[in-house]
Amino acid sequence: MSRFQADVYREVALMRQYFPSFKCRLKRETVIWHGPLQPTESSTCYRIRITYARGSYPKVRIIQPGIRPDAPHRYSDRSLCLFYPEEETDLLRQGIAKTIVPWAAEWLLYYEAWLVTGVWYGPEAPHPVVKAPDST
Amino acid sequence: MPEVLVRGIITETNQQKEHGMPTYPDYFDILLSNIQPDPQRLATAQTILPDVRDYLKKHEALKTVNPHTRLAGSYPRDTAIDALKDVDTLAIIHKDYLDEKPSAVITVLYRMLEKLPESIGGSVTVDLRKQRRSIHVCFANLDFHLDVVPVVMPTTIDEVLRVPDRGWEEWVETHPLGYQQWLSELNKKHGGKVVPLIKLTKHWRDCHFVYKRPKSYWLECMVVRHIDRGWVTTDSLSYAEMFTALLKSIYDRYAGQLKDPKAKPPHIPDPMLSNNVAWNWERSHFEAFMARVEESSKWAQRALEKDVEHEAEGVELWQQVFDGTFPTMAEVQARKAAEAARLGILSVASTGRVITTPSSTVKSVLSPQHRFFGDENE
Repeated sequence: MSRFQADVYREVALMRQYFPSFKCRLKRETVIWHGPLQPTESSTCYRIRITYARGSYPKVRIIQPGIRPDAPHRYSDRSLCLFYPEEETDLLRQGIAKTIVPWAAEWLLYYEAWLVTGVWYGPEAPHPVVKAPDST
Repeated sequence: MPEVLVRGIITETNQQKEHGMPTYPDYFDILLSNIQPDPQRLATAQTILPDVRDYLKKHEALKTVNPHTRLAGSYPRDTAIDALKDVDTLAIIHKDYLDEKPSAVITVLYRMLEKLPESIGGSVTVDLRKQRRSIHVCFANLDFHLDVVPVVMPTTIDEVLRVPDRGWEEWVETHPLGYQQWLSELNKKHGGKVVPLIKLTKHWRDCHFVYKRPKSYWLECMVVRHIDRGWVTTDSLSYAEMFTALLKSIYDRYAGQLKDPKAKPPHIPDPMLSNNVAWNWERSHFEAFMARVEESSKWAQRALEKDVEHEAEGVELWQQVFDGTFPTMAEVQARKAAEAARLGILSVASTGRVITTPSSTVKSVLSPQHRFFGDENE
């Protein structure tokens, strides 16, 4: 069993434990989860997709409902910018269920407030160059 | 990382249900934070004021006496909101000026202030305007305004002062520093709730009046009178409850004058000197004020009567009271989440529900501290 495969088994187990409503699909060297996130009682229920491929950071996209094209903190491929790669990559070792998913829920909550006020209230590390990080 | 059990929005809501109606404390905290004076204007004030005060002290066209100048008005009282329009500066002038006509003293001050830009230097430009009791100085390129008020003190600055009123051509009594001290004590006595209540009232006024606006100082005197006389209490009450009680009390107290078309607008006594600060309040302006008070009072009362399950409707009613400037549920939730994230206690339930307060009843995972990165719109 490769290191990546071992990693995938661990990620799948953690996701099942913490976010059981997410459905997992394995496709060669890529794992894809689909599932719902509702950040507050009054929020829309969003469907998100998490894609985790060998050699890449996990990527999160909002599938439904559609979000504003000018929503902040997204990469050019429309995936969410959930963490600061230069300093926070090590946190990902805790697992997608303990990092990426909670951060995605937070992103949605801040996004809903941004829609109303135009202000992003969440912690942020702005940067001039926006490029989707492909490799670990 | 161990699994963390926390109390979240869901449980908080259940607890509130057990204890009655929502009182919107987070909303009012955010509203009060949103109406704080613009930090940029405060910084400008802190830069400009020492130069102006130094100029007033040193210039000989109008002779000042020790302590030469003092700040007064809403800025030092901390009752200023939003843009911090004017900062009042007292110029303490020699008592010999009491023999002069008030309009003459105001004119001397005006001419003296014309040379202020030369003294300050740089690219500062000022537009001056004579007012009844002061000179309004507008620093046009800094978007900053100052009212310079000449006053004569008997022996010390803490006593009742005399100010030239060129409308009446009389020297009239004023006690701004005494009031400042009295308000500070009243505020302390009421757990620091009086000053925020004044700010809310001034903000409410700004929400509803472009014309026929009651002056800030009238509102301030109204609020402190209602508190000081015990017509509105503060003990164990939220800002939502106090503000609602204040609106109702104001309406009830002045309803008699409103219903009698021949009655004059009410006497609003100065807290220190008892003179009617609203002596020139026009009847039509008073009627407009009361119409807005009555309308807002009803909205606020209905908001307070909503139960937690209908909190969103309550928020909409408060939006009407504060004309769309009241925080939305989304803003409140986001700010609470940001604070929880800053404290490292934010967690997320299996449904994706963001939870901001530790508890032992909702199973969730603690969200590690992180920063959202980048902005494709930059």
